[in-house]
Amino acid sequence: MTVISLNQVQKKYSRIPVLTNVTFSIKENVITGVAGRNGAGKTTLLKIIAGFMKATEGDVQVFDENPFGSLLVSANSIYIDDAMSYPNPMKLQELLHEFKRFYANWNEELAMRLMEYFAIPFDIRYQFLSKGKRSTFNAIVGIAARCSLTIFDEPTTGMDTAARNDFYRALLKDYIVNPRTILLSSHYIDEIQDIIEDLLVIHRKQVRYHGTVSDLQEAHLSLRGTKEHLTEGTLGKTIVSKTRRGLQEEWILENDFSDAERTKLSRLGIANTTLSLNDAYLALTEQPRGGIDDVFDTQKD
Amino acid sequence: MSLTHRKTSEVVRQQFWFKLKSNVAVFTVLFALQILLSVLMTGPSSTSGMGSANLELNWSTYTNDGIITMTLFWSLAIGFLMTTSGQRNASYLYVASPGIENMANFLFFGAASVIAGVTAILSGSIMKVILLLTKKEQFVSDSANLLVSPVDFFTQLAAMISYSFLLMILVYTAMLFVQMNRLLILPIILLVYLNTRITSFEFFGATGNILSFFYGESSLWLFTIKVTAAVALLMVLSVIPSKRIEVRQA
Repeated sequence: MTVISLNQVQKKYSRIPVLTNVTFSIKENVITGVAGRNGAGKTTLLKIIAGFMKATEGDVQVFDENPFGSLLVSANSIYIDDAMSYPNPMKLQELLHEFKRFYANWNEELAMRLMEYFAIPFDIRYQFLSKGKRSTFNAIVGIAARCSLTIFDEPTTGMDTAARNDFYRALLKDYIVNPRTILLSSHYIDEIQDIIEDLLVIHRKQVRYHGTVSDLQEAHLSLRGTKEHLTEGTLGKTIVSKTRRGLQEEWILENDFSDAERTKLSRLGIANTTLSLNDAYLALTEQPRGGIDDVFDTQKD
Repeated sequence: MSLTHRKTSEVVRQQFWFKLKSNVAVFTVLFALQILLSVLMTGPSSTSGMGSANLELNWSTYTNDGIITMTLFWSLAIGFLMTTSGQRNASYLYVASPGIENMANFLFFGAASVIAGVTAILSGSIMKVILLLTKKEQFVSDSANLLVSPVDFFTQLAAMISYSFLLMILVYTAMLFVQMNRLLILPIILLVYLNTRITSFEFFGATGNILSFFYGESSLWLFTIKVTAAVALLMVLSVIPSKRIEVRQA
């Protein structure tokens, strides 16, 4: 069953486009990582899906309904980000109690256990928590709400490494028991790599990639060799990035090499390796390694 | 995972209680101001005297008009407060929709106006007690009293609650329209200005003043009908902007 489907969605903030021609669909109970550079339009996209914002053009369907202003979508989804505006006078305990009242699938016991595990006091107000503890509290809410559609927009902001790992593990464990559709946006692909099934890459206001993690890794190839050999072996191929590594160079290319071409590469002494997901993502979003070097390199050839 | 289907009325009730809990502070402020004014206003608002050769009469007037005015200003502020993004974002942390948000806000206004109305009218009683205890002079009360003239007392109460409720909803709806389009603040300011400056103006052939439309009504029943109609109209109007407002834009 398709939970989310977007067709030719466009979003403008007073004439400035932030999303253009976004079309994709997400199936039930899939954990999808949402990645993209700063300002690519990730948050806007997630807020449109959650029904907080209205698409300027195009069709958005969540649970077969337009999410904007929909009670069904609101009752079955939760959106966690680092700007949760809880009312000031209420303590965490009271806030959790409210979540329990509003969300039918709320797991009180799990919330309590997670609160204790992460050592977050109940009788304190949200604004008195540290940045990392705030994120942890929000993450607990997101997990315990057990909503059919759970959206985490950069949930780990400010969390320490241990808390991050614990959070991802808790999320995965609870997901296995109670599968649900999860959207998880993060700037740290390495961290979410193990729990996401699909990756949705937003780049320059558009969907740059939507598919499985392994397909993305296989879409690119990393080659190592001397400049001359690389030039010879990759004639007519699309080069994504070039980095100098001592005497050798490392080039990342789009992987459309035939077996014959691969043989030629090894004959030339070029080592080819699969990219890590992070490198593949960086290549996809035109963040070539060493790209910043060019800024300081005034004597460009 | 099967989807949860929630009843609108149930979610409205939950949002209403949530709004009451998260906005306790506004009532504390109201009570504090009312108590403060009750004490401050035990000075006479006017002192007069007359006399002849062998008789002199001096009298001072005391009134809780100040408390009534302050409570109406508070109502104005409440109407405004509920349109702020902070309030809306808090509702949308939980289950909400524009319709639910509006209805929960109206319920909140209902509760707030009853609390404000009752306390404002009763502040008169508190003032009487303070005056009785502190002043030595003969005490004459001409205000509506629950025991002496219960009908007048409840009329006062109903009027105060109605005005308070009307103000909240009026400001709420107006501010929602302003949020939809900032330029709409201009006609609203113009309307308020005309209402305060001119006692009567001609508008599409009808002469009148919006304030005196309510304020000048001497029949309680007609007043109730007018207020109910105005509230209903504002509630319907508020649907238009609220359906367009985007939430949780941090």
